Amino acid sequence: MAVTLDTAESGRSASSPVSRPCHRLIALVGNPNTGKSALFNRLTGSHQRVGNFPGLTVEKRIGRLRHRAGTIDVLDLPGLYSLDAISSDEWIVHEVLTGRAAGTPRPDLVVCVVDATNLRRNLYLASQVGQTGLPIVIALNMIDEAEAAGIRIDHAELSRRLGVPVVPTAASRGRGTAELSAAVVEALESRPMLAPVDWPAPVREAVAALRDEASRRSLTLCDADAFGLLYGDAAELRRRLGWPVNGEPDPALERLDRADLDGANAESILRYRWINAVLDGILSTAPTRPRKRESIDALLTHRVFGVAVFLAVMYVVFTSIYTLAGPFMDAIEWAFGALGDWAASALATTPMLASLLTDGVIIGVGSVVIFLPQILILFFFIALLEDTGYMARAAFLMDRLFSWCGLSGKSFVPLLSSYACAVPGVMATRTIEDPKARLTTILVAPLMSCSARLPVYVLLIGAFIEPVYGTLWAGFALFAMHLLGLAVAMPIAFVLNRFMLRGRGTPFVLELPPYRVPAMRDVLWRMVERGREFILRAGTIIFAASILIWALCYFPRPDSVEEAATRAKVAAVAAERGVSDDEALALIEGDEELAAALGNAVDAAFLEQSYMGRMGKAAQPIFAPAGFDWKITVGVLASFPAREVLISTLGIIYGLGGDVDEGSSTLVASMRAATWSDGSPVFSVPVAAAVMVFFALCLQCASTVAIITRESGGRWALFAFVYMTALAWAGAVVTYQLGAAWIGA
Amino acid sequence: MTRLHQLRPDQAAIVTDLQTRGPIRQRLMALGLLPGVEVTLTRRAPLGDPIAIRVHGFELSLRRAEAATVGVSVQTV
Repeated sequence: MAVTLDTAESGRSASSPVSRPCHRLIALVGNPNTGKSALFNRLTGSHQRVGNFPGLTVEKRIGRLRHRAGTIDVLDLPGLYSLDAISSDEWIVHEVLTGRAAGTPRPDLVVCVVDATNLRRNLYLASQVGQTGLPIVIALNMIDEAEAAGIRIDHAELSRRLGVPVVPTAASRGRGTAELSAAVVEALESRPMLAPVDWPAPVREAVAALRDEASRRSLTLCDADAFGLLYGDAAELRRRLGWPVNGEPDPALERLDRADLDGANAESILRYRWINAVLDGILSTAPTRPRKRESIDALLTHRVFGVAVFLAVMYVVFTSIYTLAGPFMDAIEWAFGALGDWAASALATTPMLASLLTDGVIIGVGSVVIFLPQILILFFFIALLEDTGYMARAAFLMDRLFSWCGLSGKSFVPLLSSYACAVPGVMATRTIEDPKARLTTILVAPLMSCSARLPVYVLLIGAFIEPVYGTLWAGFALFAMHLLGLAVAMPIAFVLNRFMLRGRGTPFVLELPPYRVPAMRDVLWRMVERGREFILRAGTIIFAASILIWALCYFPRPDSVEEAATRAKVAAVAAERGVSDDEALALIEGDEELAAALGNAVDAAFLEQSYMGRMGKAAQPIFAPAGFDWKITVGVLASFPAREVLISTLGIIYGLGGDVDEGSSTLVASMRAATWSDGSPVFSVPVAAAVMVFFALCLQCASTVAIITRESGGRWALFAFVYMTALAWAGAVVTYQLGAAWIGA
Repeated sequence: MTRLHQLRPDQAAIVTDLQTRGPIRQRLMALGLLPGVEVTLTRRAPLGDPIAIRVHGFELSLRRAEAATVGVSVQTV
């Protein structure tokens, strides 16, 4: 139907220029907590996609609004309080609206989403957006809450005074969406402009002076840019405009100073004066009613009850992720395992292809999908906590604990989730508005002892600590390993924040929104969104890494190695059974267990001379001060993509096959029996401790590296990898040296 | 001169001036914390930092250091 309409209209366009096939772009702008996302969802339905603004971590969400007259692209810009940007994530709004954002065309119209319960503050941003020269439609959102609170707004009169359409909406309840769409379509033609503030003469003269300077450079300067140069971060804006920043004082600014209308005194004051005049007689609030909300707040932020409630909430979230996700993850693992087995038997004739498919592709896809249950559950809870308004109270409670080292009160949920798995934990840092605190959190999140490290601890503690020191100390060791990452994270965050991260933090000005009953539809939507985003954006990297690791462990695969290993194993069996080599070979082929043992011996030989094995041997001297032999080193290196691989790798190296787990008595026995060439045991207590410390502190997870790349960029992912590897190495060396010296003494 | 963070819980005051320049000031003024505006300290976090204030009918959380840049004069009843 749209097609017919388009061709009909394009046929008419020559004669009636007014009706053109619409393919316009509108932007949604508004304060945080105004229900802008809910409105975006209602306008665009399922026709959305999420991308990135180049060089930024904030997401770019575009959807399509279908209307009788065609389609309109809707760009959801990040929520902010003022166009005077402080962080680069905030600058993007200014740049998009002035048409300077790379890769994003200038919108044709802006929908200012305004919170009806906070009209005064919300109009501040609307007033600034009006100065970008774009037509505006105001969505007076949360009108249902305003009505419930007894706030009455004469939106018809407001529309007249502002000169733009004002459409009451309640996005989370689905009200007003159709009217808003209609108003937008109409406004794209009529182009209503927001009534300007009546600035005093010196301000207007200063703006004119800046316009002159611009035209001398053959540029046009909109009012928003002019005000940015006068009242905002002028140096930064000049840089972004490509204007020279000379050391001399700006004559326009001097003019303002003389008239006492400089930044300290003018813009905000004059704007709010204008807002008050506009709202005079239109906005009326009911007499103060008993504040149920106040007593809830008093409880939730109380030093005892508040903290108790907080811990209870975190406990629920954390155990839900841990336990609810478990069955799903097992099911996924089983399904992919079955798929792998089928592929292996179906392709038994082409072993390389079979291995590529089984150990590479299927495991690769499986290792992406396996994160979905945890991610979905975590983001369900985050959306719930945010939409009810509790998240802001939790951040309020926790901030003091975290802000001293450059983290934020909102870092708690990401760091806690990272105790289950850092991949959803890092994704959860999106809730942190301050880019510097968000980056700091991302960089220390992998230090939280995730569930993949647990098998490693269990294996080593069970094999080497418990027999020597008993169950009590074994339990203490397990607890200590979990605590180690957390204990190290805060000082590291402090150091990173102080010395490595540039830029000021944004002020921690956090709105405590009223408590709301969340709309399940929006909560579930956000949950699904995050899941989809993860699969599409991180999934590709994780998959590619899996294939790469498979290749490093598989190649080269010369027949000579297989023959040599086979001959050695046959000879061993022959010696053991007192038979000739040929008879031993026949025995092996007939006996399933012996055949499996032969297969394991061949696999071990292949791994030893594979690229990964060679890297392990080459790297062994680096790890010698930590007491690692080449087998441990290969295990450590092979675990860089995923920690739990250590166990199966050690299994293969010790000739037991890859199917061992942390409880395998055969693996434990092999490790206990392992000796250096001089006969001393490889796995002493200090070595076991050193390996555990290494795993505790090292970023051995391609999935985490992938997600950090997506959230902060490849540069920071590399930095995280390097610093944590160095930290892990240092920790392992110190542990081993101290341990060996202590035991020796 | 009293600073915002020195108010007692539920104490109302009028903003007199904002001490610093820069991002904090920008942010606070954009939110409506201007000279002449009424502000109330609603509560403090357990460790005294951050504090929550009410202005223009909505509630904000501010770090103590940021709140200390706001000069206020207490309304005498």
